[in-house]
Amino acid sequence: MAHDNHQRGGQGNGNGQDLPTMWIDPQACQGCVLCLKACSAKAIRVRGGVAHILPQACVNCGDCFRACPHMAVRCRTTPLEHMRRFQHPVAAASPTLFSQFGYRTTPNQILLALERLGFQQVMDMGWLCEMNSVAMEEYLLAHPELRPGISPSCPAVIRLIAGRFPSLLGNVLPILPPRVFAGKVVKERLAQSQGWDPREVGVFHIAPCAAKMVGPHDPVVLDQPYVDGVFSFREIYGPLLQALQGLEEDHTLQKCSGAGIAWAMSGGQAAAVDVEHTLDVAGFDEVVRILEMLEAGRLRDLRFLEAHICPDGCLGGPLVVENHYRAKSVTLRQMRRFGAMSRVNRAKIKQFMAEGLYDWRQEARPCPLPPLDPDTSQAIAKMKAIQSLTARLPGIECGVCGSPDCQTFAEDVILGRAGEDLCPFTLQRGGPHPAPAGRQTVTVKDLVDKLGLEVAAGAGGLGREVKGGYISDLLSDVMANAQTGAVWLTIQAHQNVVAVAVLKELAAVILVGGRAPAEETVAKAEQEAVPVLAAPDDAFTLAGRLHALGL
Amino acid sequence: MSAGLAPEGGEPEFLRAFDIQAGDFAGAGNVSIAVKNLLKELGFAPEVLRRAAIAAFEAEMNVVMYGGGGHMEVFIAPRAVRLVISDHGPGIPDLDLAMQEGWSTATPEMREMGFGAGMGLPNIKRNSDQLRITTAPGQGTRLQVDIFPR
Ligand SMILES: Nc1ncnc2c1ncn2[C@@H]1O[C@H](COP(=O)(O)OP(=O)(O)O)[C@@H](O)[C@H]1O
Ligand code: SF4
Ligand code: SF4
Ligand SMILES: [Mg+2]
Repeated sequence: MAHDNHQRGGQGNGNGQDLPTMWIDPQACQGCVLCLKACSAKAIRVRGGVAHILPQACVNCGDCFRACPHMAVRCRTTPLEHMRRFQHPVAAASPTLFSQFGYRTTPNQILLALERLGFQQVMDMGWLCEMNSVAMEEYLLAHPELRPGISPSCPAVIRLIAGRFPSLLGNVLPILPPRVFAGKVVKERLAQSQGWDPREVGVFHIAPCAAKMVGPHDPVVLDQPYVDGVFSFREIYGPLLQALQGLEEDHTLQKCSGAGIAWAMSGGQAAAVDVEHTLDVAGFDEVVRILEMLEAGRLRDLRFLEAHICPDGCLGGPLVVENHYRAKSVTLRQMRRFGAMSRVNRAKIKQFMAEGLYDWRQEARPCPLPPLDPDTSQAIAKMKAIQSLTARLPGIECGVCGSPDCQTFAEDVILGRAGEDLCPFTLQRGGPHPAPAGRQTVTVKDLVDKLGLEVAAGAGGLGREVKGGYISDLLSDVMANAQTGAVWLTIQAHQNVVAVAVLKELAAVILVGGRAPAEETVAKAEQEAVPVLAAPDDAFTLAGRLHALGL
Repeated sequence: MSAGLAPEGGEPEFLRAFDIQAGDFAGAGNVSIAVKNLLKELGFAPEVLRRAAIAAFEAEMNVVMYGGGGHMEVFIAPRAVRLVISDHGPGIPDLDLAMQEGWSTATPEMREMGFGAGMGLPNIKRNSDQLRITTAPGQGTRLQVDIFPR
């Protein structure tokens, strides 16, 4: 894992507020299109052969990280040594961690192993998750008008809602998610009872994703000041494996049942929150589909929505170690072993809620992507320009331009984020496009207009680009020596000149000295759309005038 | 239905058209979603988006369920959104009746799927600033929904 050095304190969980969580190492990036295509948020562009992430559009889902075969995409998490910066480090590990060590290792053993790593307090987050289910349930019962309440647990989903579905922000349940609740309880209650200096208490969330890192584009920074850092599963896995070796199970830290163990797996919360009509959805595009339906006023009966950005929920987090199908199998085994009945005391949760222990200190703020233009008339004009450019693009979604798809490329061009010439197809299609750098394009039409030539036939080819000229009345000479794109000045007016022009891909034929094409020549020129022009000048004079035009 | 309110800032201009498939319950709502996203990109206020989404969705569903397929056209001016939803279906024989809350000819299957509350047309009316409906038996139905940002 790549880390940056974080300063302790002030900046919350070890991520400087101005540092993006996801970034791409330009040294390792090969400039391919794999992450570009994987990002459902359309937050990646490849420019100058290197991919980069647009931080305002990124929700930290990790899909680019999963897609990159070159390990160029980096998730910023907190380096493990940061636990030494505090006298009293506390571990709050996602219950998904219980699925990473096979069927035989129990949650209790994993919690004990964490203790062995030097954490002075190890929270059983499975238990806190079960508590959270009750809190969400109680909130829903007290607010029957809230349809549906959305679980606040996946930060990537919250970012997605704030950016693309701001009207649904009010549906996010204002109940602190388990990791933040853990931090709050530790700092506001436990520290006191233990006589710890609160500034020396460091609460670390151990997570299967970097989405939990607080970033500059977060709609709500619930984690601060309660969570001091996020350790990734991948980094702590090795030390934990060692700590599990010869572990003596001399005391019990685990309080949770299967309900807590499976809480962060897709469906875990939907099963645990006991209200009518719950729904669980997982995976970026699937979540988007459900949120779109909600915004369109559908699913009106729904009371509770659990949404995870990762496939299978946190079991499929980008920084897990175990294959997520196997992790699910392990989780199901543990659920059977420990039962799905939660032993959480409802009265106690209600009391915590009354004391405000679950309350958010901050409202979630919408952060929609800006419209095409702050001025609606301008926005309309830009949308029309985007539509007409999109219509000229091939629609094959190749990504060669460095934008994720043709429509987004058109937006990038109109919004000034990309040059139209980045698309290899726009140039061949005619229409208004910038000329290749350094040289002005001259078309046959330009010659007609500027030199007052008569179009005798083949007007369909007037848009062709003229790249030079050639003078000859010998057909084989032209076949041998004329360059592609040249205008051919000749006195030959028979139909074979058209065949030569087609074979040599000439721009046009100009009959000099006031000659007129033969009837068959006209027919053939029309058929092949080869412009045949007539000039009163002789070849020498006309060539001089062509030179004067810059050819 | 109400007398012609002239939209401020000029008549709305055609922007885009979408097809609505008959009986396509799985895809139903997609056109409304696309229209809403379009308006969002143009920077219309959330209140406009909300009203447009409701009107579009109800009209789209009616075309899916009763209209035998049709299309939705979007017209735009800086201070006006116009949605024109038309089909070539059976038309509405008694429009006054259809505009009443709770009146519906939805089949039991449609009701089972949560449609047929008879609230569609009244909701469209409530959420538009101006609504024009042209319909006659055998002649299809055309709704023109105008929304003026406040
Ligand atoms: N496009 C249409 N074509 C034919 N009939 C329609 C159309 N739209 C609405 N109707 C008729 O008007 C009735 C009321 O519509 P609406 O208010 O949307 O309620 P609902 O869709 O719940 O029935 C419908 O049941 C149907 O008989
Ligand atoms: S983390 Fe997700 S949203 Fe962000 S750039 Fe990667 S794929 Fe896109
Ligand atoms: S689903 Fe879980 S692992 Fe994935 S981003 Fe959300 S919280 Fe993180
Ligand atoms: Mg209806």
